[in-house]
Amino acid sequence: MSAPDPSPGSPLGALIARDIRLALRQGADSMMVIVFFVLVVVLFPLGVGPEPAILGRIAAGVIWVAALLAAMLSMDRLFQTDHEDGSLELLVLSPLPLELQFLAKATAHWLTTGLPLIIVAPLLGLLLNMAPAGYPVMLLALALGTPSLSLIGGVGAALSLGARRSGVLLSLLVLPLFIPVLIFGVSAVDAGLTGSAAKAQLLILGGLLLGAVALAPWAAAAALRQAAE
Amino acid sequence: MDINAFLDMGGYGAFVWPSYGLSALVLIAVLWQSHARLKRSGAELESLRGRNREAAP
Amino acid sequence: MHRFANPTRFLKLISALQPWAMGISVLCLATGLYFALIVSPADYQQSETVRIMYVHVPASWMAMFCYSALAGASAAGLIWRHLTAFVVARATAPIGAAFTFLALATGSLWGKPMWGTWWVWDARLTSVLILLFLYLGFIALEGAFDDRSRGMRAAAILAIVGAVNVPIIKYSVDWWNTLHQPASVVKLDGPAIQSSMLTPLLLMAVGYTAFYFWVMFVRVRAEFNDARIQALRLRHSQA
Repeated sequence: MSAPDPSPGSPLGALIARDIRLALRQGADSMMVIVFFVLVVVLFPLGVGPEPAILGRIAAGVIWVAALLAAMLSMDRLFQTDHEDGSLELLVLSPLPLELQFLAKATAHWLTTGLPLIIVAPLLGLLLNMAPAGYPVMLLALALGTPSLSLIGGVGAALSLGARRSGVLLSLLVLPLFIPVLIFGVSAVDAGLTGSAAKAQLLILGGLLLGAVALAPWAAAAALRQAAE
Repeated sequence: MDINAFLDMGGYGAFVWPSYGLSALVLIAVLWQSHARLKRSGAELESLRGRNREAAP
Repeated sequence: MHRFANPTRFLKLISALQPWAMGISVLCLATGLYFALIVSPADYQQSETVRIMYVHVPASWMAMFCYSALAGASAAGLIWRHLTAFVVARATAPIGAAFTFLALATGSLWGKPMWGTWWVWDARLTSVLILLFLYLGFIALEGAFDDRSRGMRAAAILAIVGAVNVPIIKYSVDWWNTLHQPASVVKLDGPAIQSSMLTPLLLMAVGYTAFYFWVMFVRVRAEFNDARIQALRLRHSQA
C-alpha cells in the first residue's frame, strides 16, 4: 500500500478506487449477484403462478427481498482477502482512520452490488407486472436503501470475520437488521403504486441511511480491531 | 369449585393449559439445565482441587 | 458498580442474593398462578383465554428486559473491560431467548381462539419474532470462534448494534402493521386492565423477573467455576 497523501480527500478516493478494482477483478462476484437477483425474482411467478394481478401485488416486496438476499451474497467476502493475506493488521495500524477505510469498502461494495441491482430493477419490475407508476419511486427507494444494506452488512461481515460458517452466521446476524429498510422500502413503492406520496417513507429511508453512515463505521471498526488482535 | 369447569376453561382449555404448561416446562428446563451445569462444574472443580492437595507434599 | 468488577466480590454478592431471588420468584409465581387461574375473573369479550395474558405479557416484558440487560452488560464489558459484565451477558442470552420463545408460543396459543389462526403477523408478535433472531444471532456469534474471548467481544458489539436497532425495528413493524391491519383490531393486550387483572399480571411479572435473576446467578456461578477449572488445568499442565 502506498503512503497516504497529506490531503484527507485523496487517500479515501484512492482506497475506494482500489477496493472497486479489487471487486471488479472478482468481477464474477458482481455478475453472480445480478444473476442471483434475477433468478430469485424469476422463481416467484413459477412459484405463485403467472396471474398478473397477483404478481403486480407482490412485485415490490419480491424485488426488495431479492435485493436484500443479493446484497448478502458477496458480503462475507468484504474483508476476507485482507484477513487471509494478513493485511488486516496493516489496515488497523494505518494512519488513515479505520472508520474511513470501512466507508471506502462499503462504498465499493455498493458500487459493485447495489448499483447494478438498481439498474436491473426496472427489468424485473417488468417481469413481475409492476405498474409503471411504481418505477420512479422504486429506483429512488432502492438508491436510498441499498447503501444502508452495504453499510449494515459490512458491520456483520466485520463481526463474523474468521468465525466458523461465517456465511450463514452473517445472514442470521444481518437480516433482522435489514428489516426496517425492507419495510419502508416496500412501503414507498406501494405508495407510489397507489398514487399517494411516498415522501414519508423516502425520508425515513434517507434517515436510516444517514444513521447507518454515522454509526456503522464505528461498530465495524471496533469489530475489525477485535479481529486483528 | 367444579374441577371439570376449571379444566375446561370455558371451552378454551386446549389453549390455556398448554400455555401454562409450556411456560412451566421451558422455564423449569432452563433452571434445571443451569443447575446441572453448576453441579457438574462444582464437582469437577472439587476433584481438581483434591488432586492438587494430593499432589502437594 | 465498579466495585463488583472484582470477580470474587461479584461471586460473593450473587451467591448471597441467589436464595432471595429464588424465594421471591417462587412466592410470586405461586401466588400469581393462584390469582391468574382461580381468583381473577374471565373477560367479558375474551372469556377464559384472557388468562393466557398472565403468562404471555410477562414473557414479552422479560424478552425485552433481558435484551436490555444483555446490551447493557455487553456495553459495560466493552467500555470498562469488566469480565464479570461479559459473564452476565453470556448467562442472560439463553434465558432471554427462552422468554422470547414463550412469548411467541403463548401469543400463538392466544391468537388461535381469538383470531382463528395459529400465527398472526400483528406488530407485537412480529417484533418479538425478530427479537428472537437477535438473541439467536448473539448466541451463535458468541460460540462461533475458537478464541472464546473474540467471540464474546464480537457478540457484545452485536448486542449493542441490535439494541440500537430494536426501537427502529419496533417502529417500522408498528408502521407496517397499521398499514396492513384491517379495521377491527383486536389488541393482544386485552381490554383495559382492571385491578382484578392487574394483580396477577404484576405478580407474574415480578415472579418472572426474580426467576431471571435466580437462573442468571446460577449460570454465572457455573461460569466462574469453569474459569477456575481452566486455570487449575493450566497450572497442572505447567507443573
